[in-house]
Amino acid sequence: MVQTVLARSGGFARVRHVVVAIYDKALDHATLQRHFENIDMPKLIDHQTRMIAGVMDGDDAFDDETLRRAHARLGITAQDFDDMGVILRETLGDFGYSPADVDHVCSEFGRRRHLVVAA
Amino acid sequence: MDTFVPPAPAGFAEAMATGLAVVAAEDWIVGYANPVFDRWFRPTPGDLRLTARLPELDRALARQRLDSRGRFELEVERKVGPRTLSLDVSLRSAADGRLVVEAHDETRRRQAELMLDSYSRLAEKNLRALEQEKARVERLLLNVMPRAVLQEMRDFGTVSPQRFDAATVLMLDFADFSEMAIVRDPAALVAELNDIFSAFDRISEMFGCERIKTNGDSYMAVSGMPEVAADHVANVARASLRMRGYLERRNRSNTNKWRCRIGIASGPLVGSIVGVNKYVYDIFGPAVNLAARLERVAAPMQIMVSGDAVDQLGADFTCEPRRVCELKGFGAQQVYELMG
Repeated sequence: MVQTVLARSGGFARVRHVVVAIYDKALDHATLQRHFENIDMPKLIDHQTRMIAGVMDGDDAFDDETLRRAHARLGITAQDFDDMGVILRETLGDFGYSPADVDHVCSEFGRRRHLVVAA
Repeated sequence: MDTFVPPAPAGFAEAMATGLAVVAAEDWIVGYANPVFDRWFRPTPGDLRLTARLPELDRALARQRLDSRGRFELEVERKVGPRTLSLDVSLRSAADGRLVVEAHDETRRRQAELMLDSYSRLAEKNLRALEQEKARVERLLLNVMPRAVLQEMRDFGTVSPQRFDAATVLMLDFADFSEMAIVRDPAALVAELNDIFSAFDRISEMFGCERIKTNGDSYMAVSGMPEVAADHVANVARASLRMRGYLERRNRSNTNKWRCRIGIASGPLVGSIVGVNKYVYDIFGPAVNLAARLERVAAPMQIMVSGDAVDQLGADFTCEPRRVCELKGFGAQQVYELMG
């Protein structure tokens, strides 16, 4: 059976550090932080955990419509999405994910662009 | 001798990420607060009391706990810059009627707890999906092997061929099947056969029989294996009568008239899984062939039974001898018809 990125990278024990690091970097980012600073933390953590675990697991934690609705009023720009992609790629690299896994996860993330970026 | 305590280096408390304050127990006035405490709990101009910085503090409850236990703790959240921090605050009674207030940043722990909650929910959801899938696979496997055999396969990863000394086989097919008009409409044919064979499955189960397989218009069931049954012949006889009765009733209200031919034979059988990847449970033994031969000599809606099986049927059943037939592989055999 083919292992998912999540399984072969150490499961939840490892991915939770990735989620925290991404959250930290987003909060330190000059333009991204506005999307995170006034959001209820439990909801945000839940969303991020499911999202990251979902793209690593190859399982859609959110269906397209849920994802679209969750981001509809957040005013996320194409630049925001690209910046988040850079943070994701950088963080996965920091945590020693293989280049192939990084590409895979970032491509899964990019596949959801049209659902996240405000029209 | 006094113990020398070196002064804490500048910024020590901040580097420890611990907020520290000393408060007068009587009026809650903050006498000292380190920079970390000030950053997390901002001073309120004109009000020096701790409660101004920490409105979540229930003074009465805190006083009661401090008097009884010497300690009081609470969890609060503070927004510092873009971050929301989860802070554990503890108040401790100290000497001279003062309280020491310590605050620790527990944001990481809180985040980990929240993530664990979230991941647990994901894992539970996946577990439910897995259980549903497992049940679906089990239902599919039960179509190709009996439950006892599936259990053995699950427990040991393999199934050994097993011999059963006394079992009875039922073979059924439909007379003039290839001439029936419905054969030219595959979708309708499959729907009809599915309906009939599903009813046969229920009847088999009701009378302690196990469906072994279907092949085109033929249906094979057995009793006495893989679970031993003393009344295996009677089980099969009852099932066959009920199947015929079901068809009679069905034919009265249906355009398509399904007329079965049934052969019943008893004897030792061997049951085994056949195949490696595409496996199926099958049974082997002379009784299987004999039941098939009897089915072929049966007229439409007739149930033919071997002599061995008739000998084991009790007085509850009526069997009448028919002609002596030359059956391929068995020679001349006296065959009997099960009347009821």
